[in-house]
Amino acid sequence: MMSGDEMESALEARITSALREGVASTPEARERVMRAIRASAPPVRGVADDADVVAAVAPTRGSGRFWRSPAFGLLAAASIAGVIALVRAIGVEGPIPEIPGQRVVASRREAARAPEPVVAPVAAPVAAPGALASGRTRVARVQFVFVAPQARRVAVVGDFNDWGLNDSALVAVNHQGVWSVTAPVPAGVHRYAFVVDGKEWVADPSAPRSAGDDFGLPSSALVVEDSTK
Amino acid sequence: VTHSHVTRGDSTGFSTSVNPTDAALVQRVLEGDVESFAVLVERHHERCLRIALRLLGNSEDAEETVQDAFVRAYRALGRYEEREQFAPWLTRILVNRCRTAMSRRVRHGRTFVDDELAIAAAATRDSADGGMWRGEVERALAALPAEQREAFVLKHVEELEYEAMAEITGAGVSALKMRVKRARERLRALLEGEHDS
Repeated sequence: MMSGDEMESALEARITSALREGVASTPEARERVMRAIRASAPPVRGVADDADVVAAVAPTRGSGRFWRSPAFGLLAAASIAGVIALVRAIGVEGPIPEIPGQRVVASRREAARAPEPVVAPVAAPVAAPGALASGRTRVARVQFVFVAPQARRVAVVGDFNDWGLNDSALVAVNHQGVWSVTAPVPAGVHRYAFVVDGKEWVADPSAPRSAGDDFGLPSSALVVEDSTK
Repeated sequence: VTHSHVTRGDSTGFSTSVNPTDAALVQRVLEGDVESFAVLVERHHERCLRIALRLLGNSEDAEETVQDAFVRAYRALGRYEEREQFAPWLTRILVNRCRTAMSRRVRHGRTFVDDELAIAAAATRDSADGGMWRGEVERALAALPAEQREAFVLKHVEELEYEAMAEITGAGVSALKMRVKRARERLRALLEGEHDS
């Protein structure tokens, strides 16, 4: 007669066996994948431009285990150095109206603590051409600001620019260590990150982290509501 | 072009491919040989499809999500310095895409989709008892919270180590162990009667 543990074990074996079976990859399905691959833009090799991204996690050779890359250390150092990021959404009209429901400024408290020269470009009104009609999708102009005095280059990547693939990364302009770039972003929920020096992928440290990070890299959540509704 | 390969397991639970390695194939793709990616698709498609089907419960959504994951992996291929472990990297992308697909369903008022057609097809392929049992198991899996389902599938269907699962899911090892434990308990509770009969 089977003991309780043996019965549990037998049941679990039947469960896992049923779930492992009954799935078959067909040549047709694999060919559909390859057709999509052939129609896709080719991968860009290396980390030469701002759009490039380095894996935050990479495996060790041979051990079969994972290690965390130096990117994590640099990220931590960047946080200690007081890296802050602000996202400002510009609505339909007027001097930088806040879009309801959006985290307009990532951290006003942090901005207020920052040295005057750092804050100035962030607080200054930015030309607000208003919401742009893009078919039926409303588009807001969003200013991304990232304070990183030591950085040589900063770019913004997100789902709204295909994560910088195909040279679509938004390259920020440096104002004495305050990097900023403004871009049209469709209404909706978005994920984004900053790419520092073409290799360090940094989530907005004061924004909510996105639930599902593509490519295993950190990203932040951005909500752009349709301010015309 | 025919590529022969042998697989062996490693300590993460992923198979490690040799001759040519995944890393060598990635290198070829980066050098412009797009068709080498077909070998990677050949090697990993079924495993990805199994994960996606078990997470999403619908064969059409699963195939679409797997294709999306491969395309994203291909386009991001040049952005990694280290290529020795293609499988966990691809799995991480896939799991993220499955989560996105599930959240899209939630936004549209759909949750786990029980693929009756797939179950029915499986039932006719298998012996009657085997097909019915799989259908019961799939329904029980569908009843689990998404996080428990994901953890259970990666641990017990794909047989991954907890550390590898943590890298893929972004969850801590202890949280994953708890999710797996609860999933096992829930599945046992749901299926014990069926098992006995």
